[in-house]
Amino acid sequence: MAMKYVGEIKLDHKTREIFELSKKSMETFAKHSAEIWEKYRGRFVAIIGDEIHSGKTIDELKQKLGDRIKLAIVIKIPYKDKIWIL
Amino acid sequence: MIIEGKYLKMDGIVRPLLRVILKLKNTFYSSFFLIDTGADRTFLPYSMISQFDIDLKDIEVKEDISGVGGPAPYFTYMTELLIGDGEKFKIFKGEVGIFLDPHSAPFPILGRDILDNFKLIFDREKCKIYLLDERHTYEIKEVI
Repeated sequence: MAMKYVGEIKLDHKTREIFELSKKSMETFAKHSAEIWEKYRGRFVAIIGDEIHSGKTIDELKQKLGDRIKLAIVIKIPYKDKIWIL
Repeated sequence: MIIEGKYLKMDGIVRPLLRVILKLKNTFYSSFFLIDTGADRTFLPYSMISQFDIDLKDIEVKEDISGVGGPAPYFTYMTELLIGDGEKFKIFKGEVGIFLDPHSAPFPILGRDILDNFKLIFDREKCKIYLLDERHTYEIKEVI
């Protein structure tokens, strides 16, 4: 199991839009990180551009967002702060 | 190609992330990956199974990976990951692992199967992360 480099491409317009949306999502995440980590403990958070949504489960978020869930950056906010050693 | 990552603060700890395009079922999506030079391979979190409606029928559950938390069940999934600077993107094709334990990883993990294709610069002082491809190099200078 491993990923192999196979070549290089230029993105089509649609995929570039998806990539740009994730840039906006990352900015939103960076801007509201402290708030997200405090307000949504134990919940799933979905960030799409400048929108922040939360749900107790992914399925709850899917019900709220429909197919837009696939455009979201989804993060499970832990109940307690954790140190990550993966 | 120079690809920029980003340090983001989460629960008081700053972590290195990279925007990556993920191809699932012939459709492209974008996500943040944790840049993990300690991970041998690339993995996706359990939450993505539900987020992207990944079919668990016929998967083969494996447990031959280990981290600090001990062995973690996962299955492999054929995909493509695209990493780039906004203009050009490098394509990586093959199997990623997807965790079956919801507590295994909060974010997708970008492991050395991909990272070894780049020169990596982590500059915490300047809050900069760079991935350089074969067209770029770096130089270390003494400043004192």
